[in-house]
Amino acid sequence: MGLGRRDLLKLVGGGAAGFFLTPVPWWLIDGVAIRTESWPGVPDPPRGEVRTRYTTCTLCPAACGVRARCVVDQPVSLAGVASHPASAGVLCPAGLCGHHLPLLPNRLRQALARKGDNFQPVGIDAVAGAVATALADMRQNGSAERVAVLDARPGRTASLMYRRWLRAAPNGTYLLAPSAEATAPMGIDIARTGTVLSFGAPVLDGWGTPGRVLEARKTFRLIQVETRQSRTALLADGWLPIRPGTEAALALGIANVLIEEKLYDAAAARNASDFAAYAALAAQFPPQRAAQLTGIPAQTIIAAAHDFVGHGPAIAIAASDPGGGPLGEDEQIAIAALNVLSGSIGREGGFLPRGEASRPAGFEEAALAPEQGIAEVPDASIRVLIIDDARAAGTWCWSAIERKLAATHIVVAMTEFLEGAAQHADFAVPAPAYLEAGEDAPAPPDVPAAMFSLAGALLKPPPEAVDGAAFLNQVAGGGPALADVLKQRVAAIHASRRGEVFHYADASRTAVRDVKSAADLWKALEEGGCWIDHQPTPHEKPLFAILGDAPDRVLEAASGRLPADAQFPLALVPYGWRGAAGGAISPIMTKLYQESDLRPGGDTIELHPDTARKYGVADGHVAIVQTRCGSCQRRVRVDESVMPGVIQAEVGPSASGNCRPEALLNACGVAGDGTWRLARASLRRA
Amino acid sequence: MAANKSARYGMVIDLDRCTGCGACMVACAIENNVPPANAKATERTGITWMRVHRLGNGRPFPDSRAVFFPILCQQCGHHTPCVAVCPQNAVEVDAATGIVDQMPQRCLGCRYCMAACPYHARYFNWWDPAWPAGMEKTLNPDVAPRMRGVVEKCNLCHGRLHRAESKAAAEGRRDIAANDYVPACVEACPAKAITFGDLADDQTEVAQLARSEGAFRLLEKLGTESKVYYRSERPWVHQAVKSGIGKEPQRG
Repeated sequence: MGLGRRDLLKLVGGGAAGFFLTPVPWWLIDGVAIRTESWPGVPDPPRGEVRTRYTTCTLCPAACGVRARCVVDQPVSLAGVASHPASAGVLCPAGLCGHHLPLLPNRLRQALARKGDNFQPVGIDAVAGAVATALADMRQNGSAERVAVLDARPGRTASLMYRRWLRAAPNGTYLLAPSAEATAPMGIDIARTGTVLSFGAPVLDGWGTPGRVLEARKTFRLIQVETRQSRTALLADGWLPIRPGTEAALALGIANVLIEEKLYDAAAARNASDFAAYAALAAQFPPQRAAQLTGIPAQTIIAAAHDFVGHGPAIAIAASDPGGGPLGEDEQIAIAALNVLSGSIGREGGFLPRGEASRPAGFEEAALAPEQGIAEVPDASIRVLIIDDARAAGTWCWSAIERKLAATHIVVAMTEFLEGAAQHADFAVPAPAYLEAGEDAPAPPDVPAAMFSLAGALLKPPPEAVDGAAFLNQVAGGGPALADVLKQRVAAIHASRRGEVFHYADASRTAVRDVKSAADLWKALEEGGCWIDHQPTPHEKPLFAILGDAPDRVLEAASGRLPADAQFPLALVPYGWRGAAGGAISPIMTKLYQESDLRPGGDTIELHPDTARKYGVADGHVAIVQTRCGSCQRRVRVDESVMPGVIQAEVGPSASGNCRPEALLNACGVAGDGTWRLARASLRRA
Repeated sequence: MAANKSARYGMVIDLDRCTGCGACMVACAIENNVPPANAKATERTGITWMRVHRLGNGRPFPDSRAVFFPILCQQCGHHTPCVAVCPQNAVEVDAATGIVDQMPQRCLGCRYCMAACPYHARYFNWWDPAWPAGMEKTLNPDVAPRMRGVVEKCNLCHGRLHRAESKAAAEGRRDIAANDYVPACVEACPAKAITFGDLADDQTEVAQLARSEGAFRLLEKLGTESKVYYRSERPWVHQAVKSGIGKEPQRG
């Protein structure tokens, strides 16, 4: 039988058709798809033993419990610890991706020294030597200049070590960060609070301990006083959109109504030695005058006053903005005085004195340098400044610090990244990052009960990284390690036999008196736990002064912080969010800033449509914001919720990645009371 | 909860509680190995399986009000549009759970499903998934990253469902425990605005909330029987939803 051309074609055609009836094509498609799933462009997730470890978040003062899912030793996800006595199982977005921070490409891995506008590598010994030489020089010459530590996260055991070191140093000065939350003198019994009158505090967006606050939200009424329609204002029971810088006037206007209508707690007022002077000051702010200053109708002010005391216990709070910086001290006095009128100080549901975990011997208050604010230090007085956790200092207006430096000075930044204040330093020393540092977390700022947690290290720090205490020991030529002092502190807590330990793993509690030894307590805390003292009881109200020595300054603050300026007719209001306002953040936060418009980001300003029209800018335009202190360039976003005449500017990361907050903060300028949260500005299209 | 008794997993999102913090978006990206944005990515081309929008009442200051509106795959249970149009059978509805699954291995990247999805809840991988050097070791080992050129979307944390099923099997149970299967966004929400569970079980909190006053679904008139419900007691929110969510950016 011969094989003809036609037969050959039949064979090839039949074979080709038959091929598609076999499983081979499907197997090929499947195989190719699987191969492309793991081609070099697609990274492979890690493999290994999966286990759960626990620690405490130290990214902000809230000290939330953290449950880390680890592959071998590497955390691959973080979550809150359910039933945690303070954080109640919650982590903020920044905390959820905190395990990315040690791996960021811009991580500082060796010490750097400034050379002109750049930095060059240097040994840590050389940095310590430079500081030691400066100290020796100050001692030898009997210099009146200071050596200071600026602590971005006060309240830790490391902070106690700094203060003790400074006590022995020439004119040692311990400085609190400009907006240090952890130093609040009283906690809030928010679970039993009836009404919260908040003057700009981001109550529902990263204030205090978010889990605890949000859990209590269903039981308290919230009145938000704020220029900006923030997340808290949106979810509040009432929003009072106030003209920028007139918070003190509103506080006194509300006080006026309460005093005139005798709606205040007379018994509590009797504890104030200067109540008569305060009442006289409030009398100058009847609702009509307060309305003129604040832009809030007089009837609304009267209603807010009634609302405030109508659902007690009622508290009035004011807080620094994470991006805009601290409130003025005088405004804080005017606002805090409302708590005297509502009788919430020392009362259940109000403010209760904060407890503190026992300290080891040698760390009594008398052995430590006192805590001071930056504004308290004379200008040009600091010869050596060591900034601990300079990353967190990304939202400080550097000129507020710079003016305190002597003509010849050394600034050392202990930092994980060359960001924030570290960019202005003479030396940058690599510090352990989050999850690498074995340290403690002090009690959250809003929790009245004393708390103490260990933030156990889940990762090894780079070999060059040193913590602040170790660096100071190197300068001084010796001293105890932080880990040793932490163990002493845990032993002191154990010896006190007070309180109980909350175990993160199973949400169980053990009374400290039932813990056999200090070593057992250390182990329990290191494996994931926190010590919490018994709830404090309401205390006898001592005699105190409301206005202190500042009645004139309070009056001045209440008259408005932003005088009219024809050349700069707009009000520039910087604001931020605790999770991301300063310093490095995980690249996954691009979900919020770049891949969605959930957060405006640090390269935008927000304007009311009328304001935008008046200045000839529109959505998407690039505009220049000019103040008397500087200028910055940002993209315009038109939003009907913005107050006319106001420029809202976020201090935070930007989608473009090239807009740093320094330009905005420096443009705001530092006011006489050391604040920079408002400025007069003008606007033009770039 | 029973994975093998035709469950209908879904959620109810309380818009009056959502603070718009974005924890759900971040937790979702970490859990499901969604990469950080490429430098060129925008709102149109970024990947956010869960995206929180701000919905305003359209009135000017000081009467303006807004809610935060998390939008994810609505897990359509009837005439699921993306299933109907996929030429590759890369989308299917799991009969045991009601979850709409996307199989990137089968996906051709034609994006018909994106065009068909009325909720704009599907995302195309315009770039290779890339993390900063060294950060690959933080990936979730239970979820494979997707390649460039395929579509992806929320699958109610399928990796977590598999873990819960494995745990139940290891313990000799046929049903998975409710606490063992909680999507990352639900777990991360600090305001506890998201309630998750089996809508087919009338006794669950999610089923009761879905039937409660103030609950609604997006584009209900389309009859997709989606399994994501929203709740709000604010009348203007219902009005705004009925008249259309607004200017949703087109993607892809």
